[in-house]
Amino acid sequence: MPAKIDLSAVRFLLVDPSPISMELTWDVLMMMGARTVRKCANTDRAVEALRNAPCDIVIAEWNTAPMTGLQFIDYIRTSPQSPNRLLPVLLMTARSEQEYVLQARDRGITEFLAKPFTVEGFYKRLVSIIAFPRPFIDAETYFGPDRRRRAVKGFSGPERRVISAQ
Amino acid sequence: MSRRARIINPPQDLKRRAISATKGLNIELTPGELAKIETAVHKSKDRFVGQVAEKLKVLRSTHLVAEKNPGIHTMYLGQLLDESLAIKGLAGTYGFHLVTAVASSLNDFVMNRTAATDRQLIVIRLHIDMLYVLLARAQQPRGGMHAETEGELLASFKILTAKYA
Repeated sequence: MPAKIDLSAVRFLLVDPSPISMELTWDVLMMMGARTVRKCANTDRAVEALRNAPCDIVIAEWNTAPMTGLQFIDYIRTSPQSPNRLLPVLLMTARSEQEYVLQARDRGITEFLAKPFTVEGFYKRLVSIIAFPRPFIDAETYFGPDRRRRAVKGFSGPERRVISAQ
Repeated sequence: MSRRARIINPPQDLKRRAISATKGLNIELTPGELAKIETAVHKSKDRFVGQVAEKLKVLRSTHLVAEKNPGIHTMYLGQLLDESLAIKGLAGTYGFHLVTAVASSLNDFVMNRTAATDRQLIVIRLHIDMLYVLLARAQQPRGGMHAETEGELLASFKILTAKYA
């Protein structure tokens, strides 16, 4: 029997200053079967929410305050106060140009979703986070999910990360 | 000497809890499941149109003040930047792709701007009015426009924003 994703077992935290956008994401998650979805209009409340109760996936908008979405990711990934540095973060933004995607990737997001999004695209990001979690890389200048997603065809050299980790 | 990278295995707890053999959605959504989830979007379409219309009304009022008072330009342009980004990011999900395109044009036009000339204010006003018209025709496919007209409209905005950038 093929596997299914039961979102009722997942605890979400939404961080979005726009009520319209927050409501849409919340409605879609509920329709997908989610039951535990906390909403925060700003990052101060989100930090508090993360401290107060466990969370499995953060869905954050880039355009937040007082911290930007990127600063919020920095808090999760690198702050000594972070409750869980390995917490999956899905960053959503209407700023979908490549420079923004690369910036977000290099700050340690788990998934990126360009807005306007489709229901299918949103669900695929959730499936990727839940069913195919990536290892984390703890390096001098980066802490976050492994940014190498594709095997490069024809690469025959050593796997340097494995060698250096031994 | 630089520190060696460390590989940390991802936690499996979430996967264990959320992957089920019987309960939930298929990993590859079936057309039926997708249609069911999309009803959440359709149901909130009217709410979206109403809320954006309200925001556009506020922008129109602020615009009238900005035309007479350059002192509020920085605040007004910041407001435009945020609202146009929000509209750009949401309208397409509801199927209003032309609204997204016009909001995107407005967002690009006001980005990094802290003051506006009279002509630039007219360009802004045209964007707001167009968004309003498109939302007023929300029940019609493509905002009641033919594909050709839609293309011409976007091309006109492109010329206009480039000319008065």
